[in-house]
Amino acid sequence: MNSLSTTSALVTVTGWVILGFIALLEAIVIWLIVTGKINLNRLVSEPNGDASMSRLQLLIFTFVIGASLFLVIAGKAPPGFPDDIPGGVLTLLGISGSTYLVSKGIQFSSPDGTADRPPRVTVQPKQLETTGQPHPIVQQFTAALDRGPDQRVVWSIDSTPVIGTISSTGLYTGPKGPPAQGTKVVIKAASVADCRAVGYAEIIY
Amino acid sequence: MLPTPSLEVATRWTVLLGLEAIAGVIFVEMLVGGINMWHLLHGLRKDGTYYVSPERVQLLIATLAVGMTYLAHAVATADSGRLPDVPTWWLAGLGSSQSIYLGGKAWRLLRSRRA
Repeated sequence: MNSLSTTSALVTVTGWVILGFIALLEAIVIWLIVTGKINLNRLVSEPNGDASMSRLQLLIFTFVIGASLFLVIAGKAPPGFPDDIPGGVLTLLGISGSTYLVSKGIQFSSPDGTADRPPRVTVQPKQLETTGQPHPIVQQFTAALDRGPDQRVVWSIDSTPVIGTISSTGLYTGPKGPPAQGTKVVIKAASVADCRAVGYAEIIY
Repeated sequence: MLPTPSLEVATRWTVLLGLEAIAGVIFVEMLVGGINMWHLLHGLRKDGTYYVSPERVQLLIATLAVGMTYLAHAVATADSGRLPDVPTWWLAGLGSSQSIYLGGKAWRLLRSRRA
């Protein structure tokens, strides 16, 4: 009887220690993700930097089946692995995994699918015609950076001679007197996060 | 030797909260841009421009529909101790959706090689 209660206590203590370890592991993983030490930026991305549909669906099905399996295990009294895994579930995972593999096969057969492309900055409006507008020209430009969370850009005038000024928020102010007709002013927006990402717009006087 | 009921409950909650927290963090990261989701629903042309890809859109809809419905079934029948099976017509639908996606991808690859 004594030996039985000692074993029972040992099992309970071991269980609590293992549970504490799992809880600590979960907390550390979540903390590292939240603080950016585990970088998930390309979790569902292709090698070329675009988000991947096949990776996303594999992730979704893995979570769905994983969570469902856990619910079933925890729902049994006492908790236990289900007696069988239905064929439909295995087929579902098979379809998902096969699609991922075939998709990667198609993608890797073309250099376009694997070459990494840098983030791209798109400036709006792309082109501005000033004919008939009052001077000085005042125009707000906006920039959007794809494939990156950091949307900050540095604005500058990228043509010589420098005509007008542009603020740090993208507000262009032209000269009081208009320059010669046909003069082009190039506006440049360069990403702060990635020096390869640059976008341009044109003002045509 | 079975674990005590309190250990069972604690284990259940620890794993469930852990799974939910990781899923939640990933979901939020997707929403705020921490996980790159650019051009998820776009295809890439040979000239480097993007277009909205119908095959990707339908695959996303099919995946979310099957995934969420299955999870709802699993939650509803969790006490039975069995994983719910996936109906054949779901599998057929999902298989067709995946085939459309892969077919579209393969077709665009062939077309870009011919060009």
